Amino acid sequence: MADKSVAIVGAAQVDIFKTKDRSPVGLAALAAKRAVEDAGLKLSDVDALFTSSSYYAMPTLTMAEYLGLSPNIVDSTSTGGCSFVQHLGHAVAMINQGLCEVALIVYGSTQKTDAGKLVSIAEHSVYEQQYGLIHPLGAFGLIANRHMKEFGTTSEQLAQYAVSAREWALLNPEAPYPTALTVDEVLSSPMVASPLHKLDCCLVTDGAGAIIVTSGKRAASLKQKPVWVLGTGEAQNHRNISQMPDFTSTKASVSSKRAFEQAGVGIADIDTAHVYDAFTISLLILMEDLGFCKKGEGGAFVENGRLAPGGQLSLNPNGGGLSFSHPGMLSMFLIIEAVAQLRGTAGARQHQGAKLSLVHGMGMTLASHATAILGNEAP
Amino acid sequence: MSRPQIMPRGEERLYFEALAENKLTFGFCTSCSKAHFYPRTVCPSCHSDQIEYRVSSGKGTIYTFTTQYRAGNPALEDQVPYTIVMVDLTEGYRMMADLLGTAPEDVAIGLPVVAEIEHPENGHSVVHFRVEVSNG
Repeated sequence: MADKSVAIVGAAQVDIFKTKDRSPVGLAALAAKRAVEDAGLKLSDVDALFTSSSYYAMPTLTMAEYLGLSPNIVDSTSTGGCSFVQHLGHAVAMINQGLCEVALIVYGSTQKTDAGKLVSIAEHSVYEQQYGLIHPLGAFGLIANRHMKEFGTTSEQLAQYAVSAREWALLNPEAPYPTALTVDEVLSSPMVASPLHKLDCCLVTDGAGAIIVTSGKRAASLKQKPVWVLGTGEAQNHRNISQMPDFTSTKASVSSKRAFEQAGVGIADIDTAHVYDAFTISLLILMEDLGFCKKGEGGAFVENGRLAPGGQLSLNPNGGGLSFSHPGMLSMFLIIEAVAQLRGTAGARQHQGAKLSLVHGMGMTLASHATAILGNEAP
Repeated sequence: MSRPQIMPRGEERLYFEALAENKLTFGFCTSCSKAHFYPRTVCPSCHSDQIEYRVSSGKGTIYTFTTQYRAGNPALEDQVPYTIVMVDLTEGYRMMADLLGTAPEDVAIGLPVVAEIEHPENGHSVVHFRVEVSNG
């Protein structure tokens, strides 16, 4: 074990489809409690707090007050859905600087209970707001049409990913829709923002999740087999969709390169991948930019069940944002599924012998990116 | 038609004041000679603060589009379906607006478009685009 090694030692998710009688912070508090218990720690051991929120403008204050915590250091970096993968990278740096030892990264949302649609305190640009773009779906319609024009990607290919995600979800007893999906069903679901249909879009769910991150030294005395953070990277290039420099390529190429270099591994070494699938098109473009296939070949890559159970890659084995859970910000749940796979506790959807996992979160409209490489063998 | 209300500040307000006078403006950096949109106080390419707000021809081509069958704002519920476009302007910048007068099935990337500025009774002026009809 290297001196600067850091591990995820606790993880929990709560009410990942529908909650009752729990507020966003109340739901998050329960996830935090269960994550420290999973680690064999107490909430009073936590000395660093990381969170982001669609409800609370100062979410670390809200969370610490609710839990009665007084952390030494906090980080409420808010870059949309990828925030928690960024928090993970920041936690590693802070632990290695000696600023803290036990970091709690936590998130909770009740958006399904609230309204059945995305809850957001994010402001809009005055240069976009008059046009009534549906956030974020309309932006992904703009992105998808451009990808189709440049590379010949088809709606059928996008639908194939939704079908594969549902096949994975059928192996997950916690997934909400236990019935198979067909390409025709996706294509005949209502068009919402062309060329994207309702079933090209993620679920809108409640849910909370939390992970506990600590030094390798502390991890050695805890009850779970550590999941090591081997590399992290982040990158970004816009806030508003109209400012995205090229609508078909993203900074995921940069964040993943940084993470791979730090981990000293390559894409061929990855056993399970956990990639942000808010929409079929976001997944497809990220697969290109992460290097699973070449730019422009994402459409062909998702065909023929390559990403379904028994295919070429164990991608989002819990069913992902499209068929498992998507409480507004997904990346927390990508990390938790990677932890399950690397602990070998993922049941029927377990990738046998999984040693290395890639987690990639994106925020807003492919604007912000954070990649983490996790493994179950000590660095 | 009604539009979502906005609250522009500073250089944002200057942009909408120019629109009210039928001028679509963009940022032009006199240091590196690059155009940008939305107009900024500092050039996003070379970081100079020598920025002019120039008036655009309003002519360009569609970079990409989406037709929405649900409104993204309650003020636009009577407009659906409506098409939002990203337009590459001849001056070298790109902006968002909506496309009027073209049926969803006829919209295509690469079509030539021209800006049209509307001045609603309530609220700020709005840029729209229409497909340009060639005179030749």
